[in-house]
Amino acid sequence: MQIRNMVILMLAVALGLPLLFTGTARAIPAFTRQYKTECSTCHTIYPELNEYGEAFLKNSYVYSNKAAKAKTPAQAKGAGDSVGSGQEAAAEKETVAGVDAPDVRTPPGKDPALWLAAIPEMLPVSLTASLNLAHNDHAKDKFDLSTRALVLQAGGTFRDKAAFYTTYNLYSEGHYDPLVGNVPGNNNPDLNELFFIWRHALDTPINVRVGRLKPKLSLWKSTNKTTIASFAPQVYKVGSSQFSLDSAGDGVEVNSIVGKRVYVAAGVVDRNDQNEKEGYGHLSFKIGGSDFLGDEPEIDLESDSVWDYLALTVGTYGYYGRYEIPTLSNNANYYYRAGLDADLSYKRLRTRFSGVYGRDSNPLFAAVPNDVKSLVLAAEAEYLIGSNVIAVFRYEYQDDGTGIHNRCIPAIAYAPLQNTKLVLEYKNDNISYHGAQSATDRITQLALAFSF
Amino acid sequence: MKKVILPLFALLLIGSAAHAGLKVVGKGDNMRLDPSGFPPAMKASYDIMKVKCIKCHNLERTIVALQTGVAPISGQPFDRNATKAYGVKMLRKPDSNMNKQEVKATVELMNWLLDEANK
Repeated sequence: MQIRNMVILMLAVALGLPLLFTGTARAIPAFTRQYKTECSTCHTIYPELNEYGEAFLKNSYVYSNKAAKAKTPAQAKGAGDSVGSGQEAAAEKETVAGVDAPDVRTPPGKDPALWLAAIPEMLPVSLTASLNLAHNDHAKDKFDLSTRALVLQAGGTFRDKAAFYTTYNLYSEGHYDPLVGNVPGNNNPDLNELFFIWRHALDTPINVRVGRLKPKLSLWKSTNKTTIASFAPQVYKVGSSQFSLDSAGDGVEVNSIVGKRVYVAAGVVDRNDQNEKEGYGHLSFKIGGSDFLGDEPEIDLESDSVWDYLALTVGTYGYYGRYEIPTLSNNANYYYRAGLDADLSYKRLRTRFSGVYGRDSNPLFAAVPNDVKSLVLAAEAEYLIGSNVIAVFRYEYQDDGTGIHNRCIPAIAYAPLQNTKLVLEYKNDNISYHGAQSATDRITQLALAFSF
Repeated sequence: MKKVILPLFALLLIGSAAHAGLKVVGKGDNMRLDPSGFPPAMKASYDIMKVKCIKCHNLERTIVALQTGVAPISGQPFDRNATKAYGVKMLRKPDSNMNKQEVKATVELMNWLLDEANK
């Protein structure tokens, strides 16, 4: 009864909060500051990307390949006396003294010196914090209110020729020892991603990405979601192996948009203390909707067609790796993953399907290898209600060699402000262990995340 | 003397031309077009624009694009191709609540405004 009341209370809080927040939303993290545009340009409810966000990501954090010539002040008639920023934007392109090359001309509104030096005008840094209230009937602390994490993000472009992106975990909730502190300590801060992109290398459509990166495998990064729980195909692990599709590695990747609607990527990952390299590849294509450059489809405004609103993206990928513990060099684990994803959207409805098959030759790094095959599937449907609420339902099947998980995850995400997200999520995880009894975990979470 | 008069004359021409384009009132979030000189059909389209477009962004963004020929965020050319593309984008944006008739009217208005800005 107590649990039921608590769930009702959490629901009431989640549904009632919209009444407390009104007014115009303005979001401010790194790209928003840089491009002076709303979060909703690229996100549904952050961090989930919409198709323009996907195009922005694939174009190395640049809107498009096309550059515009601004009109001169004389051409920009009427931009004179009453327009503040318009006047600035209409200013004629300034030419750096002695340099005529079009690619070093300062675009309107940009500082010539900073542009020439390829330095972003603002330090492109932002932070994301998350707080959680979790209920787990099997836990000792059944209702756990926690300050979960603080992540530093930075990303930007160097005059559209290069780009960079980094995420650094400043804080994640660690062990609690009442004899040491009044609150849990911090796990060791660590670098999650730090990579540099040489955009359109040697004036080809190929981008070269190097550094600590998450290999381009699935259609979506694991952060590309509205729920708290990540997609199982992206994060599941087998045995003692720490590999998951979304784990970062030190590597080099080449990627390119081919013919506007096909995206290809291939890369090599170098693990420390391993002589052999790991490799991967990705291929995806899109039918309907805007293309991978962010250009809109041709739509007849005089007549209706189902393709006006329908968009389908399909992606496939493969990863091959080998890892051995240096002190146990004979006990190497050879593994691969092969996956297929599909993303289908129509107006306010979006569905995602993801499946991955894997094989690990020795995931326990044992003297006697034990081959493990894994299969993980996920299907999700989400519906946008109004402009800032998304209802989600996901089903996951996960056979990772130790047991079979069947998960049902309903959730509702609400963004009272574009940089603030509240998610109420329930996860029912039924686990059938191989050769043992089954168990069910039921976890309810209310999570608050905000970026600034 | 000629050297002074000719540039001054050119400057006067530019100065007078700067008042011949779009009539704008207000600044920033309050920036609006003055529709008093619009043909009736364009006035009706402007009534749609001034309500629907400000759901997600202020009108300054649109007006600056019309005046400068450059979309202020993407830096892409803002011409007749772009007005159609932005119209389609808004049509497909799930929470824009714009139907095809409204998008068509708004695109036609932006095309007309582009012509007016270039006169």
